[in-house]
Amino acid sequence: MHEKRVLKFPLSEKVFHNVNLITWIALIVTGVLIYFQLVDEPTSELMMDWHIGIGIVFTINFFGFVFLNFDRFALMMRNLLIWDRDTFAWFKNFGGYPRRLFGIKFGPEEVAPQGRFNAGQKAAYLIFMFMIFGLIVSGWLLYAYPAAMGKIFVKWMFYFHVWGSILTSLLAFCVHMPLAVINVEDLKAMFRIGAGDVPLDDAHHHAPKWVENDLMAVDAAKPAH
Amino acid sequence: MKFQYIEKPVGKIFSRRDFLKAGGVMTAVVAMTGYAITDIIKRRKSYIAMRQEGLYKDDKRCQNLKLTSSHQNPSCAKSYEDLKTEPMGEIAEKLLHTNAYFDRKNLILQGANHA
Repeated sequence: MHEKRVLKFPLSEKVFHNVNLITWIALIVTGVLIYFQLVDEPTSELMMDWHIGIGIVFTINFFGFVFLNFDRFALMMRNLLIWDRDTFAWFKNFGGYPRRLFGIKFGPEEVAPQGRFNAGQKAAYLIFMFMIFGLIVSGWLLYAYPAAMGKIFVKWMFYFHVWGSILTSLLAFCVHMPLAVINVEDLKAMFRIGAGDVPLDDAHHHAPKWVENDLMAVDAAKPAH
Repeated sequence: MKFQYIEKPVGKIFSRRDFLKAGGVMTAVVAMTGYAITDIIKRRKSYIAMRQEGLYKDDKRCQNLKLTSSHQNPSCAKSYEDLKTEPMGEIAEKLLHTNAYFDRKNLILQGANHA
């Protein structure tokens, strides 16, 4: 029998995530090359031009998602901001990952049921959202208004821009990406061409509260004639 | 159809409490950031305006004394005279001008600690 599937990543979220991924990598590479002076002066200047150009795409992508798909943005923020008893209970065993991945008997065996995002994802994604917004604001202020802001403020904003992006990239590359690779169904849903759907059983295993509370059959969504 | 289930639309999931929570947090972040930035820029701009006013006053004073350019300053004029040259003269250019040009627009923020 055909397995039941659920749409996890609509097109708008896939576009936002994947453009974000590509532009983030390009921005961190060009930024690191410039900041640590790993290239000569003319190349550094070229890298800065690229950094600004890609920054424009990065900015449009974020605000495009927020304003053109406000429903999805609101749902995402809602899912990230709900911290109930089960969310905090997740930290007792970190979702069972230390036990599963490294054989470390940490906390209870049973994982507290989670919503669309588990507690670790909520914490990480809130940091990502804050940093995306913060890097856009600090980047454009550093580019457009350094003279109007004063040296001390520019200095701290510059440090926030550089080290904030580096630390967030480490979080993304060392934690978010490896865990995303482990979760194969989500990974395929995010990167395959077409619908970003996952098997209902898989969704129920990872996010039982999401399946139980937030989903509905597609037919029910059709308008009644 | 590839999938049989979708997330309920936002209106069916979002309770009034959720809306207030998410809306409140987002409004607070945007408002505080906006206020901080505009306040800093406003204060900074007032310093710039004050400095500009001071510079214009200095200019007016110099104009009254017919000292609109540095080479009209008596001590500068004396230096040129002692060196047996004139402003933009060959010797002045050799002694007082630098020959190297450095493009500083992409320099890392060095010296910021001296702020």
